Amino acid sequence: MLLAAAGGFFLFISIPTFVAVAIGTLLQNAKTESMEATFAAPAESAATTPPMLQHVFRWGVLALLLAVLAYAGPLGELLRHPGYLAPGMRTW
Amino acid sequence: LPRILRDRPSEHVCENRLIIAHIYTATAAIALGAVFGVFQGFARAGAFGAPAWFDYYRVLTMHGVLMALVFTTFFITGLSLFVTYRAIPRERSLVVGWFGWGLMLLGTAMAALTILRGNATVLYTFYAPLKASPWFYIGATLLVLGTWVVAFEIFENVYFFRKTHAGQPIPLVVFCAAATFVMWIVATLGVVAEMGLLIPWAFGWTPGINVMLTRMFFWYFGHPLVYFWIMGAYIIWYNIIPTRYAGNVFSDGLTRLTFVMLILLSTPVGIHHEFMEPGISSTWKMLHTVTTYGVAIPSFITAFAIFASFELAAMKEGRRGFIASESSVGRSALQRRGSGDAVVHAWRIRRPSQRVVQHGHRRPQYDLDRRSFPRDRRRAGRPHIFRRCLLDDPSINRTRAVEAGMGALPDSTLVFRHADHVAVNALCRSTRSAAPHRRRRLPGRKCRQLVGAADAARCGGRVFSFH
Repeated sequence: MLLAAAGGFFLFISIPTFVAVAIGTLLQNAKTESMEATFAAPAESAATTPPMLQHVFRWGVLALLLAVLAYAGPLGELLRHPGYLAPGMRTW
Repeated sequence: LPRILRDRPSEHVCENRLIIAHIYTATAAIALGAVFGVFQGFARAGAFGAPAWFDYYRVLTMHGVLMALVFTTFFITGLSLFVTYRAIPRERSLVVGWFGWGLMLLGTAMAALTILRGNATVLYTFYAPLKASPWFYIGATLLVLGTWVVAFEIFENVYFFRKTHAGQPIPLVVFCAAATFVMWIVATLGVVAEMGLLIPWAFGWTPGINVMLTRMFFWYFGHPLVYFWIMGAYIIWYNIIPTRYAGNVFSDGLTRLTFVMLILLSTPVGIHHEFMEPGISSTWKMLHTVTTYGVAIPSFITAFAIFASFELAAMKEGRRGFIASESSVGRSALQRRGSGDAVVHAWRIRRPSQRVVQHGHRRPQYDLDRRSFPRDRRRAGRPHIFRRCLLDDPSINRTRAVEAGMGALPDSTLVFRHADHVAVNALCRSTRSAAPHRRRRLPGRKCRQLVGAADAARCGGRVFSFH
């Protein structure tokens, strides 16, 4: 258990360190008007992207269908059984 | 901070304020969450005499909610807005972005205050039948709805880009951010449905709650939640990390495929968290377990793509192999071969009695009469071996050897040790499999040609040409 405390302590000091860097970055960094952010470009050797991969929202619709497929069954099972309604509790 | 707030803002600075607000709310959440975390850890270890008012589970709930829900969400919304704004520069209103942030903050504050007041000690899974104050559930719902507003802002920018750049694919980094939020919206439908059950129950408007139903809704959301986190990390790994070493995304299509797979496979997996729950047949539990393995595939792809990007960047710098550390003649020669040029035009094979002379470094000489290299040099395809075998012929200095390697001196003679099968095999592009005993098994006509010629040369010490 002492090891748990030590582990917790080490984890803890990493976070103030992170926060100190974050705050220092915010306050000390030189202010600049040009805010160019570059993102990595694909390698020249890479193949061209198939058009079917471009449509992010269509894949979202398909994902919704998959989710319905995956959950309709178990949801139906739950709803077929008589639901025991819990009044709720406060254990603390 | 005062300087940022005081000066008249440019367009970017306005955007930055919104992003800074998101990211630093996340930072505040993790700082606060860490304080609760260390208290909880010490109390658990008994290293800290918890006072009577100290409520272990309240602290644990606060820690979990702040770290797992608030910190991650604010960070990913900030990150996604950042990449979207930068990759699609335009005149834009930030009202929606600020509204989303405000809604998320309001929700967080409601949930956090409720927990602190001791009315929502339900841990961050808020499992029924533990019953928290309705304001906790409403706060959590507002946090989620705030992320939907941010998602709307990102989607609006995607829509704008498509409208103004007809036929062009949306920038990869924006695709990644949009995919993250598409997945997130599909996933958070579960938690919103759960809240639709929990809130009326917490207010006392419904007599009871179907515990199993709420848990299933929770895990419909709870497992994709972790993919929300890793997709945020993947945005950085794919699009931002390579800029630190002047590298590239390994492949645009592969990256998009990874995110599409994460959209599809993140959600239909949640029931593997409910093995012990009654009322769900083992068929569905098994099915969700199997699909959970499916979602490992995009992670494997990512593991491959990230290191492939490292390797591409190293090769662009003229390095061979992942741990290659120095540029060398042999390396450039190998690369030219690798790119299909016929580089090496003539070989004079050394006699066994001749010794390889060192070239400006302090590695042990090889005994040419030995049948094998020292163990640490036997690794196949190490380019420095090839370099070592280049030339003690005084007429060819290092520069000329480089030029020969580059194909600039067609009549140059590259000399190498007769037994240097490693070099032979390296030239045959089989740098990874050049252990001596495997030499004969190397595929390809060109390879056999070279090896045979080298062996013939050893006998006669003649010069051979290859083109």
